[in-house]
Parts: sequence; C-alpha cells; structure tokens
Amino acid sequence: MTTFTDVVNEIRTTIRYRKKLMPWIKGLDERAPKAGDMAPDFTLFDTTGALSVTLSDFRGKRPVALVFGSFT
Amino acid sequence: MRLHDLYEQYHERVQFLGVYIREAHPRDGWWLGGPLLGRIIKRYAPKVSMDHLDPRTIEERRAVAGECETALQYGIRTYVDEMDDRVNAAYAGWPTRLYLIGVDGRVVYAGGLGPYGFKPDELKAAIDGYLESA
Repeated sequence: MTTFTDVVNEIRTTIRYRKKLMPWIKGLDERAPKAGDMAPDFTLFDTTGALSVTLSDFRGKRPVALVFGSFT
Repeated sequence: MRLHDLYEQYHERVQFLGVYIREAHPRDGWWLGGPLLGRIIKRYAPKVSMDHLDPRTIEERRAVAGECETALQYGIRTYVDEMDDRVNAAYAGWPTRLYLIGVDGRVVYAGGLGPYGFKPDELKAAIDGYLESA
C-alpha cells in the first residue's frame, strides 16, 4: 500500500541524489570525445567473459556504432 | 526510431557494439523504482529494470549485463566495462550515450547525455551521412 509519506520520501530521495550528481553530470559532456577526435581504444569482454572485442580492430574495415547504457 | 530498428537496417554495414556500464539507477543508488516514479517509468520504458543493485564484482556485472541484453533484445551484442569503469570514463558514457566511429578511428557522431540527449534518430542521420560520403 503506497502512502503519501512513501511518495514524499521518494521525491526527497530523488532531489537529494539529483543535487549530489548534477555537478558531476554537468562535467560529463565536457569530457566526452567530440566529432573529429580519435576514439579512445578499448578491449572488453562479452557477458560470458569468453569473447572479446577491440575497437581498433574495425579500423579500415567498417564504422562502429557504440551504445552505452545499463539495465536500470 | 528504436535501436533495434537501427540495428536491423544497418548491421551489415555498421558494427554495433553495446557497452554495458555502471548502473544508472540501482536500488542502492539513485533508484527510480519507487511508487511514483516507478509507475511512470514502467509505463514508458517497460523493459527497464527497477530491481537491481549496483554490481560489486565483474561476475555480477556480467550477469546483470546478460539479463539486460536478453530483456532489451536490441540484437546488439553487449560488452561489459571493467569494474574500474575505464571505458565509461573515456567516453563519458554514463548513464547512456551514442557514438559513431569512422573507419579511420575518429569520432563521427557524439550523442548527447541520456536520457534526454539519447537520440537514435540523430545516430541514424549520422550513419546515413557517413555511408553516403564513404
């Protein structure tokens, strides 16, 4: 059963986290690589830990679309 | 345009890589799964999880990334950032962001910070422009 207090607490929590993270979030765009920059190379493994990928392996072969994200 | 549609349209000419990074809204962080926001988000983004903690080990991170890959069904293989978040840091990827990298290794398109700047339509336009000029 959702109460008014639950909703108020949720809003307070969201505001608190937002205030805490906003200064950090603002700096993210400045740190992001821009069009024309060399893309930072990386090697990562898939969800099984068995298969790896290296970004620079695609150089001279095909463009790469990178999709950053998480589940939540 | 959805990411799945982009992948379907371009995957033979563009390599799509999903990069799973630190959770944006885990239960033990900036959680948005409460009674109010949770209902709103579930309505508009039903596949998004509201019930995960931030993974503490690479094994936990890979497991959640696998669940994410299965649930979202973009068709894009997911690769998992290490626990030091080095790829996320290099690309300022958190919470979500899109890039297109050209065959010369340079950034062609750098999308905005998600969720508001996460625009698959812009990525599509960048892909179209790049492929036409190639």
